[in-house]
Formats: sequence, structure tokens, C-alpha cells
Amino acid sequence: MSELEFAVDVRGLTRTFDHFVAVDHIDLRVRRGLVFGFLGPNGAGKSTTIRMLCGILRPTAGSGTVGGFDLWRESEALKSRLGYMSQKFSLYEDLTVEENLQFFAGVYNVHGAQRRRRIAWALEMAGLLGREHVLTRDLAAGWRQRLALGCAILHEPPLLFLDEPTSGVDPLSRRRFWEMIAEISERGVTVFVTTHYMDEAEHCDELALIYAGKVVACGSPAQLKSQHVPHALLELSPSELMTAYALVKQAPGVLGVAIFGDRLHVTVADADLAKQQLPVLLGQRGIVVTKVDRIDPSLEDAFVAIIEQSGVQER
Amino acid sequence: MIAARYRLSRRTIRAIMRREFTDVLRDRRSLLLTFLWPVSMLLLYGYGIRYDINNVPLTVLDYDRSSYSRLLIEQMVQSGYFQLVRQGERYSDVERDLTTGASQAALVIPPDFARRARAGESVTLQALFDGTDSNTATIAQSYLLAMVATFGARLEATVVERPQTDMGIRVASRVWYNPELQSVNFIVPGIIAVIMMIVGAILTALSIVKEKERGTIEQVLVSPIRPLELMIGKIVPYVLIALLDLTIVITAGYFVFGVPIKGSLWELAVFSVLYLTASLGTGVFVSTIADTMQSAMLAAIFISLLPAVLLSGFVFPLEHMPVGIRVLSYFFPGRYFVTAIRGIYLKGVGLEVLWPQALLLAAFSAGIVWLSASRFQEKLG
Repeated sequence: MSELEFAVDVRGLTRTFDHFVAVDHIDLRVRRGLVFGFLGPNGAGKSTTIRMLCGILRPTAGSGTVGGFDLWRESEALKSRLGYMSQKFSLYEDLTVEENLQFFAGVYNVHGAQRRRRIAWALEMAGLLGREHVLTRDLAAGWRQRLALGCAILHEPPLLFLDEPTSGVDPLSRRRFWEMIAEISERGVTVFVTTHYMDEAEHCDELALIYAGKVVACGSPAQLKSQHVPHALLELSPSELMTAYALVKQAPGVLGVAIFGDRLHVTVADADLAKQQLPVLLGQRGIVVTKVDRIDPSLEDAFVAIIEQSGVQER
Repeated sequence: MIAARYRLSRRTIRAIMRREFTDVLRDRRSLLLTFLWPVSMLLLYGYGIRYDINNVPLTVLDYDRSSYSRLLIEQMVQSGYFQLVRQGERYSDVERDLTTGASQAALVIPPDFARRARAGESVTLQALFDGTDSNTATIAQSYLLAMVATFGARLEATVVERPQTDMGIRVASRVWYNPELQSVNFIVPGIIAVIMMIVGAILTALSIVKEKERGTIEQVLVSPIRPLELMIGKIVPYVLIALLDLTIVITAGYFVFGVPIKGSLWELAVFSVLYLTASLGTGVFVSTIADTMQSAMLAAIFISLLPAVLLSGFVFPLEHMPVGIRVLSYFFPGRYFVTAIRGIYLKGVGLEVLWPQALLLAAFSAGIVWLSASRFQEKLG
């Protein structure tokens, strides 16, 4: 594993269900040690892909390696080297916290002193100390997710797959969960995480965007934004929001306007020119612009642009 | 590497078994289903379903009014099987009692009963039964016949000095193996068959399908657990539970209902294990065709429990069934098991007689285990 460059390296990965192509010839390369985000809307094929990579679902076509193991021939050997947390909560709800940890320790052959050490570590990391004997069913969603994560990495896998780990969890728990992911990543674990939250995607070192079964873009969040959003974005704080909105919309060189709180996000062809012209234009109508800034496009802006450019049809 | 790939991990199996036991012991419903249910079933069937009857209300119309006829009536009442509701004065009393349901049986003793009996001539008594409840009527009829016959025999003994002793009311029937016609003796073996099906097939199927329904199977599939390890880990706890249930039923049958085992316990165990294997195989098979607990329950009831109750001879004698259903019954293990276990319980016979049942049961078990194990591997592998 030490000289392995890519934790995941697959080509042409495809899965069809009857006539529905859930995943359509995707190529993925995940460099070892990164937090790799697999971003896409619901139904885009995220879970199907992750389940193929974990060896739960047989691909219809494709080849490659996961954790250095051949996708087709060595999926059994791979299983003891990966951690997986499924989209649906999949621990035993009628077992206590500790019993779940003990069960997965047994299943992954973690024993002796190591078992005690790992279970203690998982309890601490998940903030579940003192709750060892609580039935899992009685835990709040955020705690459950952290327990599931603890169970998934009890055997210290070098590769961790998380399928929408934070769905249905409150914002505070989501943040805490991402802190845990960062902590795990620092230990050299490759984390492959799917999400449809744009703000979560920002935490990733690299991203792949999947849409309608196809990977439509790859790169770091910064790369994706700079490469795929061709136009500049300005943020204006005008005194009369609605009037300003109507005026800016019709101004020359303006491609689009959106209201964000008490500000306007204006897509323009030439940022520098617009930065000078727009306050003047508004000033003529007696509207005071307190602030004009060029801002970075959000990942969401990038994603919208990427999909429009890719020509992949929604299904 | 290859050897390691196919070696089963004891630690893994133990973890699965421990989880399974925790699950059963913690869930009140499954606890009820596994332990309280067999006992209540035994009590219910033991006390509830009775093929034997007591205190059948009886109306007697005694035209003879002799000491002989009184003796007959007295003996019938003392037997406990009949309860005298009326000594009728005229025939309309009999008719009325049977019509209103005041009595379910009536006996009419002719005026010359004592005279003809003493003279050794044949006497005809009239017995009437309310056929609405045909089961009770049939049994009451056989009891009454048996008692009149006994009376005839007694009479025979008391008038031994007479040359002609043919009473003409001889009804010679004798019940073997279950001389008191105690239905509980007949039912306990049947209950064993049903309980083993419930624990073996239904609980096993539910425990596997539960993982599918709750999504926990995902976490199991992605782990290095092999299908065979999962199957062993899932099955062993239910084997132990089924054997415990078996012990409970046999012991309760013996101490509560006084049902003895005439044959050998060892052979009973052999058949039970064969049958349990068949029911576990059925359970695993059901788990491979059902995705929700509800459909698993339905499927398990349909292909395991109903045949065990209806096509095994447990409740309804197979000999009285239409040919088609009788043929169908050969495809389910219940038939062989119930025949065998009743043989062991009531007749005290063993493998020397029951070897065909043992062979067929073994063949069925092997077949269903092979089928379900390969489907299980295919589904999970």
C-alpha cells in the first residue's frame, strides 16, 4: 500500500438496472490520503458508485483497483481494508453503543488489547463516553452517525467510504462530523465521501461532480470554480434593494442578478468595468451603493455552470 | 492466501451469534414467540383441542325399569363420559332434549331388556346422537358402544353359571397404543412439529430478513463476513433455542399432561434434529425470496407453518383427505416427522420401523439446505 498513488483508480465503471443506466462509464482517480468529495444531486448515481467500489454491488462493466485490490478479482481481500458507512443508518438499533462496537470488532477480527484500545478510542472520538450502555435506537441522529463512523474505522482501514454521512443530521452535528473526517484524514486515511451539500464539498481536497450517471467535472473546489464559471460575480449593497434590482437587471453588460439577503449578486461580462459603471448608474436614480466587491463564485454557481456546459440531460 | 480466504473465522461467527442471542433476549416479542408461545400452545392444545370428550349430556328412556337397566345407566354415568340430564317418561322427552340441545345423546332401553339379556337372547338398544357436532357425536357413539359392550361382558361374568352366555350385545373394539383415547397424547408430538417449524423456519427467516429491512445487511456485506459465516452465526442460536423449546414441550408434556415417551429419547432426538435441519433450511430459503419482514412472515407461514399444521396429520388425519392433498403432503417434511414422532411417543417403535421416514426426512433436509445455502451464497456473495 505504501507506494500506492491512487487509493481508487477505476475506468469505465458502469452499472445498469434493467434498462436504466445508473452509472455511465465513469473514470475516477482518488489520490491517497485526500478527502475526496463525490458531489451530485440525489439519484445521480453516487450511492451506486460507492457500493460498486466497496464490492457490495457488482459493476456491469469497468475495471480498476480500489485500495490496490482488483475490483473484480480481489473484492474479498479489499473488504477487510476498507471502512464503509452507508447512507441509511445501518447499525443494530437494538444493541447498545458498546455492543455495536464489540460486534464490529468481532467481525473485523479486532481482538485483545487492540480491541479495548480501539473501542475506547471510538467512544471518545464520537463523544459517546458515558453512553456505552445506551440502546443505539435511543441516540440522537448526530450521535448515531458518529457511532457509525466509529464502527466503520474500528479496524483502522486505510480507505474510508462515507455515503451521505450527514443526511438528516443537524448543522452543529454536521460540522462536528466534518471535524472528525479532517481528523481521520490527518492520520493518512483516504476518505471518499458523497454529499449533495455544497458547503460540505468545500471541505474536500478534491471533488468529482456526478450528474445523471456521468462524471461531469473533477478538480479541487477552487479549480472547479475558476475553470467553470467564466463570468465574474459582483456583490452590491444598495440602499433601495428592489429598485436597484430592477435597474441592474436592465443595465448593459449584466448577465444575471440574484438577491442574497440585503445584497445583490450580479453576474457580469467585465468585472472592472461594471464595478465602475453600476454605482454611477444607480447613483443617477438616487440610490446609494455602500459597497461593491468582486466575489468568488460559490461551488453551486460552478456546478450550475458545469452542468450547462456539459450538455448532459437531466433524467 | 487461498486457504485463508476460505477459512471460517470463529471470532466472526461468535460475534454474530452473540448479537443474535442479544437480539432475541432483548426483544420482548421474540422472547414471547420463542419461549412463552410453545408453552401456551401446549396448554391451549392440551386442554383446548380434545378429541376425547367428557360429560356428554345424556337422556335415558328406560322402558324396562329393571335392576339390570338401572345398572347399565349407573355404569355409564360413573364412567364420567356421560352425564345424565333426564330420565325420560316417554319418547317425546328424548326427541325434545335432542332438539333443544339439552342432551347430545340418548339411550332407549327396551321393556324386555333384562328378560332377554338373562335368557341370552339378542337385545337391541336404541342410541340417538345429536349430529350437529359430528365430531362429538362420533366419539360419543363409540364410547357408548364400548360401554354397552363392557356391560355385556360384565353381565356375562355375573351369569357365568348359565349355559348360554351369548349376550348378543357384544361390540368388540379395542384401542391400541392410546388406550384411554387421550388426545393430549396425540397432540404433544404434533406440537413439537409445529414449534420446531416456528423457531426453525419463521424466526430464522425473520432474523435474516430483518437485516435486509433495517439496512444492517449493508454493513455486514461490506465487512469480511462470508455468507457461510453469516449463515452459521444466524442458525446456531435458533438451533439451541429450538432444542430448548423441544425440551420444554417434552418435559411439560410429561409432567403436566402425563404424556409418556414409549420409545427411545435418542431416536426422538435423531428425528428432531433431522426435522429441525429441514425447518432451518426452509427459513434460510424464505429469507432469500423475501425482502421485508412482512413478506417473510407470510411466506414462512405459507411454506412452513401451514404444511406443518395441515399436511402433517397433526390436526387433521391425512387418511381422510382428498388424494391431491395427500399427495401434496409428501412434499413437506411435517408428515414424516409427525408419523415418526407419534410412533416413538405412542407405540414405542424406533428406527427399525421408522427408517423410511428417517430417510425421506434426511433427503428433504439435505435438499432444502443445499438449495437455500446456494441461494444464500448467490444473493450475498
